[in-house]
Amino acid sequence: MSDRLRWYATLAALMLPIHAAAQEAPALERRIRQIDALRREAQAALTHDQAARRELLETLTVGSLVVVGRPANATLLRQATRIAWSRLDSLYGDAAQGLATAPLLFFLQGRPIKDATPAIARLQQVMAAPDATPSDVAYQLVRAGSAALRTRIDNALANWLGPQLLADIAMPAVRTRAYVELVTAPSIAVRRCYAGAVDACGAALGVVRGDPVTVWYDASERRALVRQMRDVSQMGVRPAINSCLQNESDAACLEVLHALQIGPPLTNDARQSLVRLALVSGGPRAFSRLSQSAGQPFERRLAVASGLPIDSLLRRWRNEIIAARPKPVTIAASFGWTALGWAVVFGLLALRSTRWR
Amino acid sequence: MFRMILFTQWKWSRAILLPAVLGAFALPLFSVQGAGDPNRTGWEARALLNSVQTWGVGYPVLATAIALAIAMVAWGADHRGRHVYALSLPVPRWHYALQRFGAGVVLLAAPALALWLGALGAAATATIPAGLHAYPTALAVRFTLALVVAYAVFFAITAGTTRTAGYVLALIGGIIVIQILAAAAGLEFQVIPFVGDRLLLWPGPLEIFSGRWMLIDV
Repeated sequence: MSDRLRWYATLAALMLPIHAAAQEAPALERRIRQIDALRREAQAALTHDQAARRELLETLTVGSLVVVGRPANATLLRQATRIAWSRLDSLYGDAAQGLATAPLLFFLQGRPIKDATPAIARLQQVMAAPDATPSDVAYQLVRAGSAALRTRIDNALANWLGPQLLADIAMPAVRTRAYVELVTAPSIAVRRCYAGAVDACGAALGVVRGDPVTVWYDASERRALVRQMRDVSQMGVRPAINSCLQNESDAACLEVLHALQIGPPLTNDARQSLVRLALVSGGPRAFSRLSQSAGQPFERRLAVASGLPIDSLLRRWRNEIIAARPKPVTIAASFGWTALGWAVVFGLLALRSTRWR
Repeated sequence: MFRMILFTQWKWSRAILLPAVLGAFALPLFSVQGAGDPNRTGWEARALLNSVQTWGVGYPVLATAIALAIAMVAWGADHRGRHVYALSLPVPRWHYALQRFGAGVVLLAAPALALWLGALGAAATATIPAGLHAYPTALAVRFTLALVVAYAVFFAITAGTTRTAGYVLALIGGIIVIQILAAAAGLEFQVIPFVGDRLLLWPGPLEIFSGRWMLIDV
């Protein structure tokens, strides 16, 4: 390249940025304006799209239960919400007022609400079958309400009460199942409870201090319990299981049962029946007192909730369960005579048939 | 005359009675088939109760099936012969029908007795966990009463004319239609549960079929 050509090239290189800057300032402004316009168009399109997808929803409030749903389901939802609130109020008393801050979003199965706004998206969803009755929907609302309240209590109480907190089921049936447990559960504590030892009832329900395994089961029951778990292979308890079963080592049996963290011999039905009795005895503020006494022993918490000494509460619970013994196959004389009476009535109808007349 | 009617009904229904007797005898034995294990402990008490409860559905079903079959057989020959034989007898209709009814009740004693023996055998052979009890005689009494009630109902229906059967079917169909219409109209009006409760709860005619049919129970 010649010197003259190199000089022109250098001059051009020096002038190019100046020229480019002079050219880009208005161009950039123009482009920014174009981008702004495009952004506004996009925003408008998005808003239009969201508005098109947003559904008209209705909020129903009964007591402290707030339910959001489609206007098309308003009649069903209004009836169901009324039923659900009365159940929640009777189950949880004034603690149910906490549901005012946890609205529920209701829709029918197969027709989810498409509203994606954050206010709607964060609501707990409740779904029911398209042919659901108000009672069916109310059952789902009570379950959802209970789940919402469950998040506000301590883990110890939540775990002790089970997955549904307070189950919305008929208590006579629960007490009947508890009676069957009381008769059949292979536990020294349960047998003593059935025989009338109130402290043993507390132990069998898990309302106990100290090492529960030794209170719930005697040595032979502990070994039998481990025999039921002989297929368990996790947590490195295999050697202890073998020692428990083969050498009849009670220490090994205890090691297994402690490691596996077994639950009380009386299951959820019995515990639910006890808590429900405590809440009925304690009045509308009973559940609040129960949930606010976190950290205290269960016997103390139940006594505070029910307003009764724990012995009295457990004695009343036992009496209720004993009274709920299921009706066995035996039939009372009156039922037998009634059956025979109906047989005679139908027999007489046959004798008086219109045939041959 | 009663002996002749009983004999003829026995001839017509023995093909039904044989499997009925076998079924009634076997049902209690099947219901406790897992309870004879000497290794069974109290841990399985609830499982045993569940098993007995599951098989318990079979008792009212069996009673209904036997009663229906015997009732239909009782009138079958008369229906086929257009009641010519019965009309030729020098007895009023109610007397003839009463003897037919009585003969059927006597025949029902066979499956009832078979169930009682089967239940006694099942209770004797099963290892029953502590806290549970066997109720073989009570179960047999209940089964017998259910047989008699169901037989009386079916006997009354089959004794009537086709028109009577039509009325009964129309009544049942009407209840179902009312329930469907009420549901379609969104009314909380439960006709079928209402009628069912009147029939199945004391003092309803079918009360004997409800409740727990448990050979072994608490």
